Amino acid sequence: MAFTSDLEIVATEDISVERSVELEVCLKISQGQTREVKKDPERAVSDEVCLISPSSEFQLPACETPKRQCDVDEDFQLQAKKLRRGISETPEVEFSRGRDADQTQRKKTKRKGSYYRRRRKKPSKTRKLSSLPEKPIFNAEADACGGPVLEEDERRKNPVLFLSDDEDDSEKVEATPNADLTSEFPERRMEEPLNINSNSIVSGKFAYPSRNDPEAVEVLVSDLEHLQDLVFVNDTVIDFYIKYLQSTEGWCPDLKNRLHFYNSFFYKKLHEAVQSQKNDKNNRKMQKLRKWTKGINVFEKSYLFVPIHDKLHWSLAIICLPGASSEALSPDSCCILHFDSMNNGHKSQNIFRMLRSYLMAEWEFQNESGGIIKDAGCIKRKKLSAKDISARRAKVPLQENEFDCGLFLLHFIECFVKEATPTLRSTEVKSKFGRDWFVPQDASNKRETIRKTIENLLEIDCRGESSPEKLNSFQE
Amino acid sequence: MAGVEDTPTSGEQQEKKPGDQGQHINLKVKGQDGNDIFFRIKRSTQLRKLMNAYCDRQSIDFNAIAFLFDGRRLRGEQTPDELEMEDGDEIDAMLHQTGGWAF
Repeated sequence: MAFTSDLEIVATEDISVERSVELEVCLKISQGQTREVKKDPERAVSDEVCLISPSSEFQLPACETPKRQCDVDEDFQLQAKKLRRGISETPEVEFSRGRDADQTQRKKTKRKGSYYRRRRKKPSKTRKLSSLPEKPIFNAEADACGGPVLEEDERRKNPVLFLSDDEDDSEKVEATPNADLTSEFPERRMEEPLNINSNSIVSGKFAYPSRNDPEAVEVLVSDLEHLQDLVFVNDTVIDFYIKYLQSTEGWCPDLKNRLHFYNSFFYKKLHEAVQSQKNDKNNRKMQKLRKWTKGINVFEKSYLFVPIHDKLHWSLAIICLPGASSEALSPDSCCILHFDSMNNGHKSQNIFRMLRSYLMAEWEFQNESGGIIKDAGCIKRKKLSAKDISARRAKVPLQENEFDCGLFLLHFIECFVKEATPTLRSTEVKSKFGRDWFVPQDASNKRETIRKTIENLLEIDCRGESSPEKLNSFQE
Repeated sequence: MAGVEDTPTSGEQQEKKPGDQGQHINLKVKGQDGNDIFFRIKRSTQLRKLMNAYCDRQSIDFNAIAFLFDGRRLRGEQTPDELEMEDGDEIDAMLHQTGGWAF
């Protein structure tokens, strides 16, 4: 054998019955680790990120092996669960040298009655399995597919999960007639469409505005739960509705181009970036955050909307900028507003600090890249300082319950844009907003409105594209 | 298994398979806890595979996580090609956020 000096672990699990995918996990461990491996083999495998394979189409970390082998008996399920937690008594991963692996695997297969029987239904997969370990594993891989095979040392150093371009797993799971299998694995079921029957609304999800839009927000049926009475609204609903407002409302196109909406995760990322700023001079996290506005010069916009989520509460920040007007940034023209539907909601000062840091970093970047000087002729200022940005907490209507803040956020946006002027001076803020800006019930009513909107879109999606996309993927 | 990871031979390390470069890319998935997991994936493979593998590995429910690439929410049927991802790009795995009122 080519690998006599090494211990070779071969765990070849056929998960073809539900998933129609053959998973082969091969791990080579140098002799130095032999003892450790024998002592605690299941841990040895599950901690390593692994890979490989070949003939096969599919590679996953070894720790998944037991989880995915869903067709064996209950006893094995139990073992698998233990194994995942690393407390298994008996190793489920077979160890052997070279070709023995094959036989060991077969024995194991026979032991699991149902497992073996079902495997027989898929002769092609069986053939693949038996052909694999006849040769040294790594050569076999290369021969079989000519595909990429990492040098083993490289694998050790850079644990990488290899993923193939198979058809989607979940579709295959869905395609099997074995209904009881899914019930054994409720957690797997979660990610499948709720209903196999594609005619029903329940099976759905849709991407808004469209599947082809890279900025699209995907809404699942399960997100509707967040629009039930008394339930907290989630980020998907927020992001969806913001997209929805942008594309369907009768906003004047001129204004629309002057608005920018960050998604609901932006603030969290910004928070991370600002926190790390102290330790990281290059400020890599802030650099990464810049990619979120790739191709956009935010200083050309009039209003930037930042949904803020922290501690189970939503609020909204709006950054008002002079935008296209040739006015320089000043405390009067550049203002951060905080809209919070609760008096004791988010601390405005923190939010102002974060957003000021962001604006200053962004300004610096735009300045370096020449964006500002080119695009807004009169702005000559090299540096933007915190003093140039004023900040206010706006007085707004408050929520009358303990669950509607997400809806208030959306209603703030909707009302703000409806009444927006090309620019907003910080001195105007006080007169413009107040506790009587709108009736709180209007915001709360959004729950129903958005729910209906989503339900409609789900229905349209189900009927409309009964689905050429899906058909194609099955043909492949 | 730290022991395995720590035993590379640097010479062999640098050998690269030339045919490999075009089709596959390495992607990093960054969790909110700061932990990174590296994936190697074909450019034409749907990202659902990567997402599933990530969630399985982290033992998190698939629906509990939003995957973001440069601030865009990823969908399972998208591919690295479609998103013009490059080798070494980073995907953020963020827990979904819900909120109703402040504590």
